Amino acid sequence: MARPKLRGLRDALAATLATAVVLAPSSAEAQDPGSIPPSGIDGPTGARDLQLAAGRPYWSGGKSRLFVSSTMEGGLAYYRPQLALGYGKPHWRWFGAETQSRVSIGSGSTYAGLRAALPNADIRVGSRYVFAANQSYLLRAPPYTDDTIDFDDQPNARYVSLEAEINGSLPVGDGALFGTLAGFHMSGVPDAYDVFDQMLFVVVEPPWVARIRGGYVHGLAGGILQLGAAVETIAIPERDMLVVRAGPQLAVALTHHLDAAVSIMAVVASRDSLRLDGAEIGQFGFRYRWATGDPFPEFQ
Amino acid sequence: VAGAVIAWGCAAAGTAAAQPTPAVTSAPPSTAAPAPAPPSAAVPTGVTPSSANATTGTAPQREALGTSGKPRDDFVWRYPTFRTSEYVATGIFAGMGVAGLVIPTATPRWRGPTGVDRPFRDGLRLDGRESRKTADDISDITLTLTLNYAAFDGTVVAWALRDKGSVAYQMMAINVEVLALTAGISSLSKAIIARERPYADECRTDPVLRRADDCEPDSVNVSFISGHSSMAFAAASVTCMHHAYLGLYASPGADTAACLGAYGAAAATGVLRIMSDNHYATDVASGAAVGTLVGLGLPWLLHYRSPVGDDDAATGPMDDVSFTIVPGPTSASVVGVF
Repeated sequence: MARPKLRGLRDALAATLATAVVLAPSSAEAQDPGSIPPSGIDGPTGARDLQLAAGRPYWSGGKSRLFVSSTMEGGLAYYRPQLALGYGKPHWRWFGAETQSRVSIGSGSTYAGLRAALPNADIRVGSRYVFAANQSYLLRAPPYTDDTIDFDDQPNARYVSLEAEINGSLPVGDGALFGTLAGFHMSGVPDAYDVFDQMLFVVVEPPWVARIRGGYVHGLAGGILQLGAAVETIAIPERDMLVVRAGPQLAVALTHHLDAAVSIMAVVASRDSLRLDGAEIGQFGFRYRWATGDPFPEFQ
Repeated sequence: VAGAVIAWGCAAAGTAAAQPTPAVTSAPPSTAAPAPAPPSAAVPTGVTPSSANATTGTAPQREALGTSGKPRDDFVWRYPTFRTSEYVATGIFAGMGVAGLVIPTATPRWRGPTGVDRPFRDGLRLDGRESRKTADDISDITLTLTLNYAAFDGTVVAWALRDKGSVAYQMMAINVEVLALTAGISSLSKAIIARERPYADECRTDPVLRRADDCEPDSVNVSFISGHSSMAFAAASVTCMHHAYLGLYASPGADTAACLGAYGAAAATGVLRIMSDNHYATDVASGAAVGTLVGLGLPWLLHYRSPVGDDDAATGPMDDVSFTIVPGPTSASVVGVF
């Protein structure tokens, strides 16, 4: 059933975040895409694979340098600022360190790690600390349902996840194939407990989780629009279980710095019955990129 | 020309009085000189010139130019732009939403159905918990659709496809303002009135549900008004306002279909909230009323009622589309003409 309080908070946060993230850039002056060279596409909420699929030619200009860059991403209802210190061309071809935080309804996380990016490949390793305000540890009792993961009579979930992820893309005609391979090692979860990960949307018995995702996006309207589909499999070895999800992906480049995207990954197969709690149903998310040395910043 | 009425409460729908005007295509935006543009070369542009303002020149010239004599743009923002005070107000509205969350709802201040609620609940509530959960899920999806559709119009249609970030920005700012105010009203109403949800009895009898956070007081005592319904109707209403005044799709039929589709999804959301036993009918009707009034009224009051700037500006191919709010003693109706 519904969680009205949370949805009320979601609405309020959405309004705040959308105001801050979406509207603030335009307070300088909204750009019309037709007046500037096409910029690339960042992926939907948090997926780096789609952005790789499209590339970001705007950021390929200039010289390699030491830089500080940031990406601010917001949607209904989460906010994820990212800060990077690196060498190269920000948001294009670089290596360095990055940190990011993610705040959403009921949970949050902080990540720090190393990253190397090429136009068609991207690799990162790092550690993420996850804390949940309204998600309890789950007494091990699979299979889980949308009701049982909502039990709140256990301590709130907190754990650390060591992560490694590689993304790649291959241009094909007017579009691109893209893929992601990621591994997670979770620690800090007490014995006899499982945990519902609110980024992967699966119930995990620690420590290992693997994720593989692939798809295709097709460029429309001169590459400003990217429309496609993705399928992913999440493996949870300790539960001897696979979760398969699939769904459409849409991304649109608004300016060189601002993109919007939406991703829907519905559950195709799973032993758990989490209903929508097990799906990644994203609202429109907006991502704004910034970096030092940007020759045409939207904010002076 | 087709008429459509969206009404809640017991009021009978009125008839529309607005008279449609014929849609006229204008010259392509690239036309720099006031040369006549053959109709066959025109493309749907999203603006129909106002014959009342363009008083000189041939008809094609009047289509290509405003009264200022400058080449007209076909899709621009011709209304007051989002004001500083509106940014502040939007923040306050969002704060209202947060404030509603901190008001304790440990004890319900209103329990049970009204006389109006009983027949709706008896007729619509689904049998079986799984069926009700499915209806709950679908209501989440229809709400998501209406919210995303408003965002889609701004980002994809106005900004990416019609190359007007400036228009898209105004649209999205208004969207956020409308949704923030609706969320604020909804959140405060839930907290202050603290009505117990229809399914509360199950929390006392179902051992599984009792352990879930759906049965926590801050979840179960927040039935009035329906947040899903208010947000869905607000999103649908503001979507309709943009289509009516901007002619986003440059086709009256397509713009009308978008508006009706949005309201259809919003109405489905409300009905599903009753079917899933999350709300009484009065919760849903009140939420729909709040969402519709805010979604239609706020953009109109602050922006669309006061065209500014260039002459021929404030008109569009959707001149022949109008919406009117008709208040009644116990209800209100929205009457539209297409």
